[in-house]
Amino acid sequence: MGNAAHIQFLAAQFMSLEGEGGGFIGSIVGSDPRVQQAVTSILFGVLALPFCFKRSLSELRFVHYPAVHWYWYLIFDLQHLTHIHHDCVLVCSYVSLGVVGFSMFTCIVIVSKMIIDMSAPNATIYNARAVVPDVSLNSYASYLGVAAFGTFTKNRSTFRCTLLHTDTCSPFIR
Amino acid sequence: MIIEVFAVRAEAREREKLGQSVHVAMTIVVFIMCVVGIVGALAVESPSANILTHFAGERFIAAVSFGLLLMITLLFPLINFPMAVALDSLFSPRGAGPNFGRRRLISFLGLVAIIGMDTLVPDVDSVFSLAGSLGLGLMAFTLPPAAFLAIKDARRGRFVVVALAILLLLAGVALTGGSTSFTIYDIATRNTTATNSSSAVSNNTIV
Repeated sequence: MGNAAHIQFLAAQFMSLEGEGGGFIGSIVGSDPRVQQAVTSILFGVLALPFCFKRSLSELRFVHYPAVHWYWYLIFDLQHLTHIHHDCVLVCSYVSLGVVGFSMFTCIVIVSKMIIDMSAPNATIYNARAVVPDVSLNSYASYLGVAAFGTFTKNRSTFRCTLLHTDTCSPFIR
Repeated sequence: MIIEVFAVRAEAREREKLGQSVHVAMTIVVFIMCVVGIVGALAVESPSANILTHFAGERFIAAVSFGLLLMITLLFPLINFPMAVALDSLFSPRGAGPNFGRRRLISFLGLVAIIGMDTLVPDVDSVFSLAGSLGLGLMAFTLPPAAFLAIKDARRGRFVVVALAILLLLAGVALTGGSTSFTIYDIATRNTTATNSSSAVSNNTIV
């Protein structure tokens, strides 16, 4: 299921980047979004498939090495920070750090953009009242899952966070 | 991630350091999720499951998103590997070594199944919900206590731990079953609503 979610996210994000017309995928397969999504999933799956045929995780080092390094020099010197060596297990940590590092970079960009938008004159702060503790056990169970495994299970469309108290947000309410 | 940890551990040279790495990784992930979630909720009126979709037309963010896509594509073999290994072990005779031809076949068939699944459920947050409720519910809450209870030597003379494991197993089964049923019901309801509204639209067009 995790693999399906992975490919689904790639396809959905790529289609979002392609825009409403569907870009080159739309040119090839037409305007039906389901067909576009299926073809995009195939495209990304087939791109990654040859690397799925490796015999061990350590062989993936050569696949991920360039991808990790391009942002490595861009952002910070990861090797000196983490004392990572090209050891088998750390190859995987390396890859994960690569993805986490790039995700962090993306998050910094996104969060900065949103904060800049919010601090503009006449900007509105939305959902401040929704960022409050939800006392139902059910919600805590689902956010325990989020905290532990980084996956939304419920309330995925509202981004509510049970960790904040209302008072924490009240200074931001206009 | 939980499943990948076992595959990584199997090839680890210094296995004792893995626990610390996982803790650091989880702290980073939880921190990122909280910050993006909170700021996203405050900055966007109706945030969707994927916050990146709210920045359509922003060229720099589109470029960053494309880089993220490349990174995640290269991550796919890593998460596919434990699945291929697990299924290969399942079909291997006891004591037999890995069968790499079978692993390749499993990877290929797995991809076909994934594309089929993604085509059947085209909504990205529904697939994430299913992955969270079914996959992680099983891996995180159900299988560990079940495996512990299945090992006779592990449970010998540890009554309190056994009782806790049974409790955790029951809670895990309830959580997995409940949340998966809720998610499937949610998907089915959404599909039915979408079908009804599209047929209503076509009827109006005919009229």
